[in-house]
Amino acid sequence: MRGKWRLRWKSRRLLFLLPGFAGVLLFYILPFLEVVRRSFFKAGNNAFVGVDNYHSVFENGAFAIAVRNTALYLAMGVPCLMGISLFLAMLLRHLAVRRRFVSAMLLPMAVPAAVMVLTLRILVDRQGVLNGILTNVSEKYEVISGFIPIDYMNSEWALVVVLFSFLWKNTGYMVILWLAGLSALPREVEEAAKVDGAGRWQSWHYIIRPGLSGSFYTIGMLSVLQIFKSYREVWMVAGSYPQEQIYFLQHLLQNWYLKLEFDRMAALTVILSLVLLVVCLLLQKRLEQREKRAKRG
Amino acid sequence: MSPGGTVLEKRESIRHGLLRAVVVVMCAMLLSACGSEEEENPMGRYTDREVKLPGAGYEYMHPCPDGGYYLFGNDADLTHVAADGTVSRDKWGWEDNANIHVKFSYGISDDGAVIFGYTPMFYSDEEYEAYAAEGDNRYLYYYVSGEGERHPLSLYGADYQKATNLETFAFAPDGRIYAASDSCVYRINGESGETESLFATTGQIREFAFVGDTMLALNTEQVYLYDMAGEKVLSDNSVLSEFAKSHQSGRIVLAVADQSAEPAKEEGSRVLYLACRTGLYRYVWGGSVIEQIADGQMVALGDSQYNPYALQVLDQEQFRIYFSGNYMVEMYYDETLPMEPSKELTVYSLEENGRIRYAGRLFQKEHPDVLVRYETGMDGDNAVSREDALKNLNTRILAGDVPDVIILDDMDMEQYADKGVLRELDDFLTPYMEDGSLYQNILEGMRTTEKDKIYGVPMSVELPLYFGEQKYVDDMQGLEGIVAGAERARAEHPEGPLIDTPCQEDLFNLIIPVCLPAWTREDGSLDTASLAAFYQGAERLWELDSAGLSEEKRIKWQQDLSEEGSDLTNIMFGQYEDIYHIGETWIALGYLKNTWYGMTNLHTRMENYRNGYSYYKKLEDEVVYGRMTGQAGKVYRARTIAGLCEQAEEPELGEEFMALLLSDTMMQKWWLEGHFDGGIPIRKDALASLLDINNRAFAEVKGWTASDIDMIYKEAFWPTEQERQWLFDAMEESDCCYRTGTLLEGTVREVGVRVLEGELTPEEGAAEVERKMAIALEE
Repeated sequence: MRGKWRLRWKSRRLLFLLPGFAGVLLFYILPFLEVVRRSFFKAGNNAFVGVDNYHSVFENGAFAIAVRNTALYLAMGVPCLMGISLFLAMLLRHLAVRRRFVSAMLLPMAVPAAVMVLTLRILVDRQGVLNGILTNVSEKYEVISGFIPIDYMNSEWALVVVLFSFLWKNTGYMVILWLAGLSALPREVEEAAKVDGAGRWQSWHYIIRPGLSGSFYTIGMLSVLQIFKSYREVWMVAGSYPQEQIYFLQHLLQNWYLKLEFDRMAALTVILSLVLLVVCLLLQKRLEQREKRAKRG
Repeated sequence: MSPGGTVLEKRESIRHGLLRAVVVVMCAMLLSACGSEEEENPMGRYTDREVKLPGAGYEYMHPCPDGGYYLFGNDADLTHVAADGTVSRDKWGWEDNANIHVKFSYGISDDGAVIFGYTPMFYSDEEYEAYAAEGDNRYLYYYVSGEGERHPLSLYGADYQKATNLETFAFAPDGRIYAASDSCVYRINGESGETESLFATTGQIREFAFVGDTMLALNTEQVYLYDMAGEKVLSDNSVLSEFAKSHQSGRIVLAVADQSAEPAKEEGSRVLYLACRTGLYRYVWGGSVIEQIADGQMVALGDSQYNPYALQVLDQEQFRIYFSGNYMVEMYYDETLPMEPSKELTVYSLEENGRIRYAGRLFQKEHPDVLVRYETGMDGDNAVSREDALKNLNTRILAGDVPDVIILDDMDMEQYADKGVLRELDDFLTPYMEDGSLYQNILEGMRTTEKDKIYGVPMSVELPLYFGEQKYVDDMQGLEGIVAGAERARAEHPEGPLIDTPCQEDLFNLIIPVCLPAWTREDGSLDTASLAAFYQGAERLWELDSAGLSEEKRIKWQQDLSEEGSDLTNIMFGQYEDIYHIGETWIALGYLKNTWYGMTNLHTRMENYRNGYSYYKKLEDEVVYGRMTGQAGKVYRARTIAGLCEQAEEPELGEEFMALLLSDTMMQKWWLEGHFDGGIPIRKDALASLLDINNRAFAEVKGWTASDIDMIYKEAFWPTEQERQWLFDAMEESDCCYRTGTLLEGTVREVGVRVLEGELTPEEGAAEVERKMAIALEE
């Protein structure tokens, strides 16, 4: 009887999970399966084309540009964001007034995208503040001779501007996450190491860094997500066809949508999903290995 | 079995029982919902017929309780149409002597008394100063009694400020006058001008109605109720106020059935009718619901071109509705029509298109069993951007919900054709090609480069045109020709603007359409040499134009234009003996948008910036005109391009609708009803008929003198055969279509501004466009 009851209890738990799973199935898994199906058919006449859509994506020049730029942006943005925010968190960690700093740092998150775009334009436009300052400096001190104002979003500086705005907007939030991770570390261990003569670098390398490994994974994933979310601002500032360096995968998807390239969009979505899945699995595996090693150690 | 187990089993069995019961009930509900699919469609619904009005120029209608009505307007006589249709006019003509310049805001009583607001004429600065001393831009008022006695109404009262402008007037059934400003409702004594403030409102009252002793004052927020006998504001009618709030996008008009009946009538038997864009509604006074009796989509009310201005309840629940644009219909119940149309034709356009709305109404009249659903991507109320609207459309297409007819203006037709959304129209157009009723060259110009098929047909086109004095515009062929003409004009006139380009965007508006088709090679690649030449020409034109105008003056010019809402590219062949409003510019470039009853003379909608008002020149003596050409030859701008969708649910209806769009009836009706900016019809007989002087009903036109802005009447001056032939030939030659909405045009404009500002050289600009377009082409 008790065994039966246990079985029932197990199936009841599954019953509780059912509504949530049904939602995921209905709104995520089934639509995704439909996307997978569409990736093998031609949009318009719905003819089966096998992997032609995938071929077409890989042979597409815009895809190559978008992948290169997105990868570069990720490679620059994620380490910069994580590094700068961690550095600031370490600085603020022992400050008594850090709560005030933390509140101030959250402000950029509260700035609406439209305001942020406007600010960016005011700063980096050809008639913007930055050019104004540089022109004045070049006239007054002759440091930069013959300075010609440029529209930064339409120049080779575009990626730098985008990166700057991304860091400005997200650093504060990431600092808070790092501070949360740091506050979870036991102080006694650090103090004991200090008593034993460990320097700052040794404390960081042997105590803090390993202790933050869990936060690394979470903050890393969040940073990647924020990178993808920053497309909105880029699009609002530079439109559907921006300077080549800031033409990202989202631009491609968006433009294909407008051009009714639903078949290629489906193929690209499947490819991106697979890539993200592999990255996540690799990261998770690495984290698990590290945790295992830490437990063994 | 343990006792506990028994309890559990009992619970289990109860639960199972309940579950079974729920399943049985749900199945029963599903079955009952699916059962009656083949139910017969009941018959009978409201429809309408147009009422021919006794003249033009009316702006206001007052319904009388006996079934007659009054019409009035600034340029029209006070006209009474009796219930039997007898028309009587009260020719005034005394207004000029009474210093009345423009009349507006009318109120008319059942016995023909009129109250109206007006702006005065001034013959001296002193007169103006005396007026302005009591408030500039204030309205003055006039009262004319039913017997014809008239006097200016000098309003006064304890709570009335002289500078308060009254915009809405109404006579109550007992003859008392009520009026509303943007914040208050007043009662006015028409004889003395004494004005009494009754109650405050939030916003302008647009409509008054009278139910017994109760006055209803309606604005977009709520309905105010006022007891005229007890002289107090009554509590809000939440049903009516909710209705007002939920129908804010258009005007609501009210009418009371049996208004003349005795005041002691039972509350529940008073019926109020409300008409607005969504339909006609019935409200039993004191009730809790408002019932829709006619769907706006199936009658004229749904036509967004017209706003309802007045509603009249006739016998046997028939209605008369007067609309903006001097348009009136009678609504009646037709028992022979099905209550719900059995079929639906969906027409989609990115922006509101009056011509399609009009065609939809004509189509619905011809097919009472069809509901024409006209959908717009950017309808003005929802602030949707073009890109979002296109995304929404694409989502619909992806989901298989395609419209039957799609208007391709400002959309990339080739793209939709390539993706199989559009149906090729070559077969459909074969009869038109064979009988030669449409300009074949225009149709051929619509062929797509990729598939060499026609997927969209324009209803009309605009022709690029230049005009000016012979010495400047002589032999002005190609972009170089325009530049050379501008050089000649600038050499003679170092000061002032040269062509109509207050800002860089305006310059591109003028010259891109005649050049854009030349920038793409046959293989679809970008011809950067041609684009660089375009930027060189544009740069030179901008330099020449800017040379005679300081930055401050240019900004002032832009501001003036923006306030006026003028589009300098508009050119119309007009009927005026007087010529055109060319302003300070010496060369006019633009697009011929209509034939305005004839084509003897040209005029643009520009004001003369030198003097502040229009002046006239004789066309034949000094001014010549011709087809503007750029880099692309004989270009035309296509307007209202209609296409059929491949996966349409009602393909036959779609074809019929398309045939209606291309019919002589539609093409002529639209223009002859006064929609003059619709372009030139692509149907040959329609164009010939529009230019046929024998079709003209009038022989004089109104104009204004240059010196004192007095209204004058001039003899109409109809086109000569030579002029008619010029237009026919120009239509016949047009073979290169310019379509808006392409990415290339947007990019060229964006980069072009940087070229004109000196940031890039023309060659760098062309390279920048190529670089930007490279990604688009790669996509």
